[in-house]
Amino acid sequence: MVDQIILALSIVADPQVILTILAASVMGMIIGAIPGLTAVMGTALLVPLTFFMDPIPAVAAIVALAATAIFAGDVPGALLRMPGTPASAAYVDEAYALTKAGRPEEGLGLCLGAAVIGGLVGTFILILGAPLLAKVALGFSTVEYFWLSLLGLTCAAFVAAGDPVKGLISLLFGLMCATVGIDPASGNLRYTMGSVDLMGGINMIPAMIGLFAVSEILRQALGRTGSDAKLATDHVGSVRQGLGAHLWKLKRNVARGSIVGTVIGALPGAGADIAAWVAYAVSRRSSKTPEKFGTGHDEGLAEAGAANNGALSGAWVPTLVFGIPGDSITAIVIGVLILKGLDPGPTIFLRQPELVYAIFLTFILANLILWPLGWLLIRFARHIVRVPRSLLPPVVLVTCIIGSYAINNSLFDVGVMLVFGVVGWIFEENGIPVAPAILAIVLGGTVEFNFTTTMIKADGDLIAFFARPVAAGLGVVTLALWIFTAWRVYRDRRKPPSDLAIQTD
Amino acid sequence: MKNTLKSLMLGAVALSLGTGAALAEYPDRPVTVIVPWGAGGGTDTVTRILAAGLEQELGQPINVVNRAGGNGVVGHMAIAKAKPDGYTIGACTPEIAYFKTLGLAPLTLDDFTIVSRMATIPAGITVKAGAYESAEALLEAIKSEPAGTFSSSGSGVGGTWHMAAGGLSKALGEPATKIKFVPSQGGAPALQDLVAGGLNLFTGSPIEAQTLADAGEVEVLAVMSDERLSSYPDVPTLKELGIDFELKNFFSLCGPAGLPDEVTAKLEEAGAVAHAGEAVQSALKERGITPVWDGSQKSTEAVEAFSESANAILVDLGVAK
Repeated sequence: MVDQIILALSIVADPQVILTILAASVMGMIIGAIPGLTAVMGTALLVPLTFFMDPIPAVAAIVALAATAIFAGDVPGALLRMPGTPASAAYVDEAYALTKAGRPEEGLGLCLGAAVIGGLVGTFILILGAPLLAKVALGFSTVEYFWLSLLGLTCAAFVAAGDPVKGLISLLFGLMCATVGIDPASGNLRYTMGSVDLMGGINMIPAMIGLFAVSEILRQALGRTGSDAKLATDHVGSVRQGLGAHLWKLKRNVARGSIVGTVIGALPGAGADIAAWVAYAVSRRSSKTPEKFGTGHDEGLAEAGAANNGALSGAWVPTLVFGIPGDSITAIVIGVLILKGLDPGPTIFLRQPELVYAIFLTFILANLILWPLGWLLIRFARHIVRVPRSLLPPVVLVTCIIGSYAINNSLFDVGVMLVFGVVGWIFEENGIPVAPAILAIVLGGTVEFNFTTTMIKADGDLIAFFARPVAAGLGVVTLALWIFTAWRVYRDRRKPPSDLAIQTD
Repeated sequence: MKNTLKSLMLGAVALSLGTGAALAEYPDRPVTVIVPWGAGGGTDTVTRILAAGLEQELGQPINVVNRAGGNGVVGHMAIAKAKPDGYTIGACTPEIAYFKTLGLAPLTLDDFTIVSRMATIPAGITVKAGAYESAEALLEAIKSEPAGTFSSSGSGVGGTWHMAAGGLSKALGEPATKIKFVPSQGGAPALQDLVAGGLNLFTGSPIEAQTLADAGEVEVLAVMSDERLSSYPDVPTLKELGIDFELKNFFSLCGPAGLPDEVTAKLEEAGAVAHAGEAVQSALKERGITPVWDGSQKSTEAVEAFSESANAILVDLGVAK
């Protein structure tokens, strides 16, 4: 094994590999920092380039690009309230509130620190626990996936700020959107109104760009928040100042976020974005000061910021061990691995252990390189806020349009983005959070499809949802959360507002 | 004045002749290949491998563009609606044979020109490791156990692997719907569900099952093809087991209907050279996919034959509209 690690080191020490990681990291920074260009899209754009590379540089490029893009997505989130990638959406309000309070360096520094730690923790879990974690996920059937995605939606209800009724409106709007297109279970067309483009359903990425970015542009253009220009700060202080101590103070959050993120990433289908949502919700549930969440609080920010980078590494567990992708990035990775003769599967550890170790090493390298590069990005990013406000919306709108178009080379998606922009603007104007809608668009199909297939298998017998031990466990947890939330809302409504601050849950 | 007009008209005629001549030199500008499925998938990979070779042969850049969505309808529609000049072509998959049957889109084989099949992937019968001693034992169980005992997956309703399950039942002399079909979004989740115990059959491709078979989690018992797969030399074909049924998924290079013959010929010729190259052959074999390049005429016949049997099975499965 020592021989193989030395061999792996010699593969990775190649200048071509190091330069590839560096170049891909810079590309990831740019892609992540531009709202509308996601880590998944960046990976897809990278695939044609990897055709000309050796296996290890090809894999290293994808690893580095994804890790940096997920962090870079936090930067426009903090400065413009537009998550650069969906993975930053969970805590975008938190980071933006810190910027509004004149402390952007605090939020961004925490994001960077948490991202590096989360990525490294995720990598070590990947290295040590790959076969074990994948075994757990492998035992999941449709019924477990149903409960798991329902749990994700339940979390969305927790994250929904303020009025749960408004959160529910947003959630149901998202679920409605998720039903458009070909029903994957029956093959029937739903709400397509004769449009071929709608048959593919509403594409999540243009919808997200619209809900988060275009609505913001609309709001600025219509001048409803005229003070916005003053709110986004001009000054981003030194990132390093006091960051170490701050991270140490939040060590529990960062550690828990890293681990939760990695585990969620390892579950097939759930990626960095869902990991961030869940970690944020977990952080809020277990916080001593949950009422501070959404107002620029550090706990959820650090926890979710660590979770999304941890999830990136976690997603590789089932990918490498069983050839089953853990998220949309690794779904693309599998194609590259096979093309490069790196057949993912349990035997890869026996046949090409040095290549597996080399991949692990590139993970460590990519996450370490994130620190100096991220620091540079934050320094450079403050120029974004120095750009005259009137200049930014057109530039952002253009990149939004390019991003929406590029994901599927479809002009229809540009239209989807614009429509959702208007919807998002209407939502915001009425105090309805847009985040639950996005999560519902992502998970709605999963919940429904797994519900339907479970019912097909069980011939409509509802007992099937509790017939398997893991499913029963997940189901009980989900239902308990519902009952608990309902009880809490009921209790809060009955008690005078002054008692809200001293909840002990 | 009249002379001027005459020379102008002559000029116009000459110009149009000129463009006619340019058409003969197809291609004189970049060619777009539409892949109706996502980046990184099987169709995408096969097409991109071939496009790299095709680029060298044609001497023009080839842009592979993914137009995924709507179970392939969106991309196939784009191919069918493209101007038939050879500058927008695509990668057609078996769905072109039954879009209309399933009521998904008014698209039939008549809307496409098949240049050639690029590769085929046969269906197979895969079970959880250790569940059945042999293919014979499993086939006997499918016949003797009551309907609904077996549930299979691998694709959406009406997809190729659904037909494989229906066709297998029929070939065993049972109703097409005897094997319950649970839709899935691709082979990987279906195989995982097989391991997790949510299903007891997988009628998708043995290629998709390769990694889990190597891991000892699942076992491929039979291949629904006329010959054994090179990646599974010990797994018998259905024909060897005395059952006359085969079903192969295919990837084809195609264009809209009415593609000029010289364009089809040129693509067929250039594609044949590119396809025979070491890069394409080894890349396909590495994935366990059977490389095929049978030209426009033969592949059109093969696709028509596929369409006929596929549509018959879909009617029996009760999913035809």
